[in-house]
Amino acid sequence: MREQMKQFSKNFGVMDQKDYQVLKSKRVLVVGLGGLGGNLCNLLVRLGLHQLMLVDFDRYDTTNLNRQLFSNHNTINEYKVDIIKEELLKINPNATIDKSISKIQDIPTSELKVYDYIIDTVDNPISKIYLSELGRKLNIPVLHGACAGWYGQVGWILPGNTLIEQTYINDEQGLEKDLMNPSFTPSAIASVMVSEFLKKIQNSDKTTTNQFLLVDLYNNQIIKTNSNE
Amino acid sequence: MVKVIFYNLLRSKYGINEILVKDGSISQIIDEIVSRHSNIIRNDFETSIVFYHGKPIHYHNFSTVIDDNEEIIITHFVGGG
Repeated sequence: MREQMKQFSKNFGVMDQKDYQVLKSKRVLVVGLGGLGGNLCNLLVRLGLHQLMLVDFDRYDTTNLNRQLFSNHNTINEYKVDIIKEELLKINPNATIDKSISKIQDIPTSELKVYDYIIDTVDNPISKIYLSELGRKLNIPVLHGACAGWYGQVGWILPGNTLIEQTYINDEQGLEKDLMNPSFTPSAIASVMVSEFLKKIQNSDKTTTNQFLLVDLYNNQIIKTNSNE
Repeated sequence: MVKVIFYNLLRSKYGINEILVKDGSISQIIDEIVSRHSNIIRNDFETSIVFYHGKPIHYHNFSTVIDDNEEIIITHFVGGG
């Protein structure tokens, strides 16, 4: 037990034992295991999260190699959920990692009632809207994340809030259509998401809730969309 | 006056962080920005999204009026993962 705790000891500058126990008890549904999702799962498990459900239908391909953490020439054509589960268990063999090779829309909502949080790291507006609606149906918060080029956005969406639906009004892509995703932005945005996640666990009033934290790595600035707050 | 914050793509492209303009609809505000900065392309705003009191406003609602002493953020949304 002590040896197991030692693995997380360097986190205890920003969290305490109580936070760790809360973190251990939470079940998190992570949807989308691309550049954001892979990095985020890695950071969450290293922080001390023990119970994750991974959902993605895709396999690694060559274009993922620039940014997706567990992609390499040996994992191309492998399902992302399989590789990420394997890698997360290497980091913490005591974690419980469930997986589904499917689209989130194909999983019955009744099977998702056990989760405390949804994490949205999908790469398309339709799925983002679906996850926002799913959070409302399950009455659990959704941690939203998205990125493109030098830019990203992060925010907690509480059940009933429609910021996601108001932002993504159709199935059009955002800046990622032209700017794509370089090696560094997904990991930076995943880090911001995990810091938001920890603050949520800690019941901090510093979480970004029902608004977006807009991250601009080119101009080195982060602002909130409700700048009057 | 209305404080307009250019964010992400617009800031990178035009090197402008903030502009103070007369109050009016978002379309009028954009007209004033474009008239003062001839290098700014009006079409760039068609795909932009404006945050006003935390609410996203899309191009089809750019008739929304922004009151004096208010602040808006003009940015472009991202959806990649």
